[in-house]
Amino acid sequence: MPDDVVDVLIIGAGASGAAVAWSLAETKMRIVCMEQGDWMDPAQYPSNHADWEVRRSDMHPSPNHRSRTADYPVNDDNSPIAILNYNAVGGSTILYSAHFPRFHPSDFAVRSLDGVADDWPISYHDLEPFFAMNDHNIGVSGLAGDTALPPHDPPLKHLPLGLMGEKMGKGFNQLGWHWWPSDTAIITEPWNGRGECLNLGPCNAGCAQGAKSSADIAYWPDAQRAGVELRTNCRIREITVDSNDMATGVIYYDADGNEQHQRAEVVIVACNGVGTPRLLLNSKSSAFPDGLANRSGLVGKNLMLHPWGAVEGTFDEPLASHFGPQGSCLLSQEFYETDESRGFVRGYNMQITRGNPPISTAIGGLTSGRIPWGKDHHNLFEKYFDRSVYLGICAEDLPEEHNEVVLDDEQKDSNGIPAPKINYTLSENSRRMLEHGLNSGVQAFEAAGAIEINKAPYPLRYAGWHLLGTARMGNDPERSVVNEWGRSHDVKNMFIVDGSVFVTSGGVNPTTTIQAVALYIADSIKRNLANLFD
Amino acid sequence: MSENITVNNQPFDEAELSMLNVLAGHIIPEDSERNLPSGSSVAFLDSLIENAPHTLSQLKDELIRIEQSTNGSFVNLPRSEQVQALTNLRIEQPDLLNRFAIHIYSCYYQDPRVLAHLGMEARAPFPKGYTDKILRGDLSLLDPVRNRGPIWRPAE
Repeated sequence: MPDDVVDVLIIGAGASGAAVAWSLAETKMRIVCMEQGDWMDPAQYPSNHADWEVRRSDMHPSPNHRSRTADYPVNDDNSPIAILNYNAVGGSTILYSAHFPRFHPSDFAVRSLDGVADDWPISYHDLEPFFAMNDHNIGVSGLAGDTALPPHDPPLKHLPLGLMGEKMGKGFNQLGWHWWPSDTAIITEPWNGRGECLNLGPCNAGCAQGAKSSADIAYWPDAQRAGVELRTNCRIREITVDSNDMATGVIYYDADGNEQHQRAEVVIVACNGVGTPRLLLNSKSSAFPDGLANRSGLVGKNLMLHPWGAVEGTFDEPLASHFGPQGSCLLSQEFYETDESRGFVRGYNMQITRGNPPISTAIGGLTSGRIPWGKDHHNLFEKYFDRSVYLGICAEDLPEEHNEVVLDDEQKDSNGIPAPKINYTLSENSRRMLEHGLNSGVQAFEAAGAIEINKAPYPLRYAGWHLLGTARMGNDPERSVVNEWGRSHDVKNMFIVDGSVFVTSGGVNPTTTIQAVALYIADSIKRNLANLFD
Repeated sequence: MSENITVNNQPFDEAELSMLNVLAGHIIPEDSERNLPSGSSVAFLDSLIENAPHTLSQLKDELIRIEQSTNGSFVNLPRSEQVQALTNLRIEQPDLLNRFAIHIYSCYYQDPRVLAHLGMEARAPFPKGYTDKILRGDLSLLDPVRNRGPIWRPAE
């Protein structure tokens, strides 16, 4: 087996790797995907247990907290935003909230429209069929007619708004602002053999019902039935190359820690915006002394993280706000597009999320000082529980080369592979955007009738889910790592399909766009099979 | 003495167990109007030892501090004087007993009596779910948004 040559080797079984595997399966090529984690067992997710709130800590989003065998440490001491991920079949979609807004057309043309960063070499129009394909493949719920986007029609009905959603909608209406039920990767009707959402609540600790469209259940079963081989517990150390600058395969550690070599005709990297540059930077050779596919010097550079702000509003009546998919209700994109009179360029999404369950309400209140222990405990708990709503601000992060992923000099994973180190600072543009966003959140809650409003300090530390930009796409090999269809400029049989290729970050959660880009690259590979390496 | 104090080989002596029980009742007092139990009447000790062993050393130190501040008679003081003693200590050390309080909160809000008061059942969310708890929502509220028309910026 180790000396076998597979046609396509995909590294990583998360959102993008799964989509690419599914798409390429129809070629009947021999496709193998290697994933450093294992399959999840939904029967072990917290919501199978009465003490589910306590068990959520087992699914901490920081790999440094979890320290599972499948995890690698991330040195994020030099960043105000911690790196979050999950390492398993399905990748970080195991824990994501499935809030699924698309990038806007303007996100692909920020240089042309606003004079900042760079335009993408592709457009919203290029990705539109792949957004729709992905929506259908995994089952996206929503409501047609959102005025903040070009027309599109989610295949499944939207998630329930609830009393809290109606209240916030009325507040946005009073301000004359945009709002809309979110596109969400949670099925609200039976879909492809999966049951609909039951409002279990803790989507971000794994969905026991299987209604959340994580890649392990929404893509992998179909990809495997179509012939893709998925090998778990395989951690790739480096991608190997020959004297012609062509990738020859990978060196990896199997589940027993034994070093193995897998040869491949084509290598596709899908390890996210931190894992991908880590792997490339660790794949040094005489031809690529600074890391594979890094003749531009941009591998690991331009890291974008979506700085996050949060506002909590408390109302004077029960809202059943702690029931339902926690991260998904509705959004407002009133301030998404650039208006320089606001003091910053580009914009942000406001994501309305649901309230906290009992233990989280109580402990959050204790640590904030709002629900202390002692004689007033019951009155104050009652004031906040079931009456609180959250507004998250997802700020577009513009690319800056000094924000980067490098290899750590000291920390290593359990196989001895250097850990990634993050060097990241918050830009002045992001600060102004977050200040504006927090004030907008306060206005929204005031208009909705909240009796108490609290702004969290920004940026939130445990919010580094969106890992983008570290192997950017472009037409110029001097200024980009991959071309307009994801192929490395330097290594012509290697493709990158994850959020690393993003030229800019948009101001929304990126998974639907990551998967649309991955499907677009897979489609490009299929259309160019006859002359793939030219 | 509480029924909770039944653990064999547990790290607290009888006096410490009595103090923990009294303190749990101060952290979340009984509320007769709401028919809510006190923190001392929910099962907390087993899980404290099992799930939070790293907090026990600090907790034992805090118990000593409380005892010293009341000349070794904390549990025998009238409740109002216990409250006053804790209040005084927390002026000097605001985070006194906070880790223990986090544990009490965690146990308290899993107790079936407390959950029933909140309108919840003490059960796993899956498989029954909560499908009857959330309104679909009135979509006519979106009419002003629709009437305003598209706000996205063309780029091509």
